[in-house]
Amino acid sequence: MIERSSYPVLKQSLSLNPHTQTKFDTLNQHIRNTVVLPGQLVIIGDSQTAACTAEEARLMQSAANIKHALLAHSAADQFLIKNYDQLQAIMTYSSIGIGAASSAWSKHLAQIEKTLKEIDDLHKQYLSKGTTAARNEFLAKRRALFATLDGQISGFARFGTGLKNEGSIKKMLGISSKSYWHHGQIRRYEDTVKRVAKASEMLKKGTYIGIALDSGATAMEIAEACSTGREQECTQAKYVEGGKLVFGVGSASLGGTIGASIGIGACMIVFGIPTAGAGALACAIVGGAAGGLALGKLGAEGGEIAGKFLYEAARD
Amino acid sequence: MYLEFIMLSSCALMLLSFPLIFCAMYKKLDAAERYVQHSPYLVVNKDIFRRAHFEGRPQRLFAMATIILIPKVLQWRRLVLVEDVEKIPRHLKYWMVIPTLVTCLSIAGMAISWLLIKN
Repeated sequence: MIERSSYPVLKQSLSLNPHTQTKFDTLNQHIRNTVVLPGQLVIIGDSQTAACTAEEARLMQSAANIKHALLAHSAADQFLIKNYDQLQAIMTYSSIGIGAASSAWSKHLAQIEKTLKEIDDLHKQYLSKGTTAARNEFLAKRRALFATLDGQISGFARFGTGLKNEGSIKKMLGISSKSYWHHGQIRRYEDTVKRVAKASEMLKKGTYIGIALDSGATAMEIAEACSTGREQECTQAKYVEGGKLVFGVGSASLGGTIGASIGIGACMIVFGIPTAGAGALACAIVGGAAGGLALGKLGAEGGEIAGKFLYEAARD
Repeated sequence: MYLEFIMLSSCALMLLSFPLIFCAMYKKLDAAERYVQHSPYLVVNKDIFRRAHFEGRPQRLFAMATIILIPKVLQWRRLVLVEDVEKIPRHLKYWMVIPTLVTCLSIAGMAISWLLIKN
């Protein structure tokens, strides 16, 4: 990950030969003579040919897209650019930590999805019958389902559903008999179910996303160090980045596990949570994310120091 | 130099904690849990983590270690009975507590040496 630096300084630090320098300028038109921001793509071309390869052309296109995305974001605020490193660490280690408790939350979201589907089915059944006798039964069943949904999305348990508190459940779901007669479906219902299902699916993959992000970053760091004729840096990068990956992921996983347990324990002791409700789940998620982030970062730092120590011991 | 050595030892201890945790959670956890199976603390942990990775066994192992280490605090909140905890055989208590303490020790070692190295 590069710090904010000017284009000439960056170019000089790469120690390129004159031919490669010209090609470097051509490939990096998106950052030429500007300040290179964290997150921007810097392309180092194939030194064996002066012509641009198809792969390089694709990279140029990607680099331009990334630049536009970063600038569009920075127009609103500089938060992403200023905190790129921090955000990457949060995404990586917190997602590993959250993975420890997310399966339970994903189950909770799946239950909300089931209740929403039951409400929709009930409306469809009522509309197909449409009698006054059926109306009373429909209202009673709907009241029971609304009470279930109300319990499922009370307080913090609403997180991840995208449902906003709008006074009544009918309003929140956009349910009205009129919309049913005209469109045959609950307004916003499909969006709601899709959103809940997506959040549930994403939570299940938290750990894998974290590991993939960390492994990807490690592979890129090693590839960068091993790019051209820098054997010493390459070997050192393998030790240091390897150590960071192993201990970062290992510590984040342990941190997530311990954090989730401490989160539940603390909430049960302090608030006296009697059953496995959404409150205990929320404590597990928060504890898991915090533990994963803190220990993941600590483990990565530890792995870096251990990697350097081992590299120096192996070199001597 | 000795700080790096502490860091390295803590990292090695953390690596050692993984086989210990896995061994304890698959070989001894079920037997230990039977003694406190009606504890609300354990029931909540089991229920929340039953669909997590490894059936939530790592979290349950830490929960069991907490129950063994601070039973009186948990009893104060009516989350476990001290009499039940006392019935757990000594060797099972060790199997629950040692992996947890090894993990915590490695984390503490890493944190302290990292802080000292940074300063």
